[in-house]
Amino acid sequence: MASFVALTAMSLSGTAWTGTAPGDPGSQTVSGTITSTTDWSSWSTSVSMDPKLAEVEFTNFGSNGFKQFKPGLFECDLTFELNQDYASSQVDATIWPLFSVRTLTYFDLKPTNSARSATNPSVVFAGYITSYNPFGVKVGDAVVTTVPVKVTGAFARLTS
Amino acid sequence: MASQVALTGGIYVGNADVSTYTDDVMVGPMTIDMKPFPNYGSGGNMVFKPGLFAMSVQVSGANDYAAAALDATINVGNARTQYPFSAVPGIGLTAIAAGDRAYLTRGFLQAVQAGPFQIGEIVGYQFNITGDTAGVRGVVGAPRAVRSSTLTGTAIALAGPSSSQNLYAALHVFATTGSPTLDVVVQSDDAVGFPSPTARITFAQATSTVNANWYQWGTPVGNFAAETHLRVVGTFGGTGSIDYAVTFGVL
Repeated sequence: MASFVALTAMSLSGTAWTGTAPGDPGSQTVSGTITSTTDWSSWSTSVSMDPKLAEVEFTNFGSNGFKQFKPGLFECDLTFELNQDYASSQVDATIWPLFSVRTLTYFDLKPTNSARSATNPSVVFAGYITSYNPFGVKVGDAVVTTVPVKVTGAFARLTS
Repeated sequence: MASQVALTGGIYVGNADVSTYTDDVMVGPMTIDMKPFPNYGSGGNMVFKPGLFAMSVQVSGANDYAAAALDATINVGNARTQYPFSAVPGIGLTAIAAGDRAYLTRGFLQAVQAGPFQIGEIVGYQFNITGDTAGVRGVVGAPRAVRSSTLTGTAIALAGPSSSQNLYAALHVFATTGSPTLDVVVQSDDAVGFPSPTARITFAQATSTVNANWYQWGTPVGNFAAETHLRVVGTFGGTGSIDYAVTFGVL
């Protein structure tokens, strides 16, 4: 019976890559790691990734009444739910420059904070933060922010 | 570990401080439009480049129809008016101080909602501002205060703007007594002691006459990367007092 409880999932970001980076042009075989990481783990309450293949239909009169598809382009979105923090080097100070300057950012997501391995694979992406809400809250509530990332080009699952 | 509970804050729209009427504020979302450019060389992957920036603000809370209260300043009659907007997320119950984080922009007041009106319930209000310029992560240059003398503000370490950036600033004048005048500038210098300050943004003089000079968005200015500090100087003249705040930032 498959089961896994997320207790120490790790989210890393950086703006430089050592190895063959994910991202554009999209045809490369990705390997390596983020050169200098920022760890989002203690900020994050939720991380989600949404890789999907475009469905390209080619139904024809020979399809015998069934629709037919082939997979098209690969596309992915990431979404981080973060507890906000305006202190130096924390959430707002990290997110704002990546967003406002439209910086291409690398992300490395793992199910635990252990080293990358066959049982703790990294999924690595390159993308842009497309939206940021630095201050959206009802008085008395915790300040949280949702950070969506649009992935561009190749992304990969790495075990080493 | 990141955490922040919203207990205090400053929400300034033009010449109105709506903080005491507001229980919910959304600065954003700020968005960047992603432009796809898939090509035969992208290995079967969608590829994107970032495009235009857009921003909106939503503020809501409890309305007040007393003289000089919220509805007297922010109402459907002000829709389409262009205002500077500043939001200061407070830290716990600590009073707002120079250097505190602030977000500022300028935009048009739209989607003004007076209500809901429900018998026995607090009368609400809500409005949106759609930004028509940059949304800037900045700081409080001069915290809101009633002043009857010249302010030489706190020197705030803030590098830039570089040749690809601009300095932005917003002036909010809330009230006056007597017959004062106020001339606000944002200065820069390359040392914290401001031995040789340069005025970078100069606002038009505000007086006791309530007009557009009570809410100004400074003309952005850029390319003085050698400077290390910024500060607000509010030169007071005349008699009485003037209640105002200034925010600024570099983008």
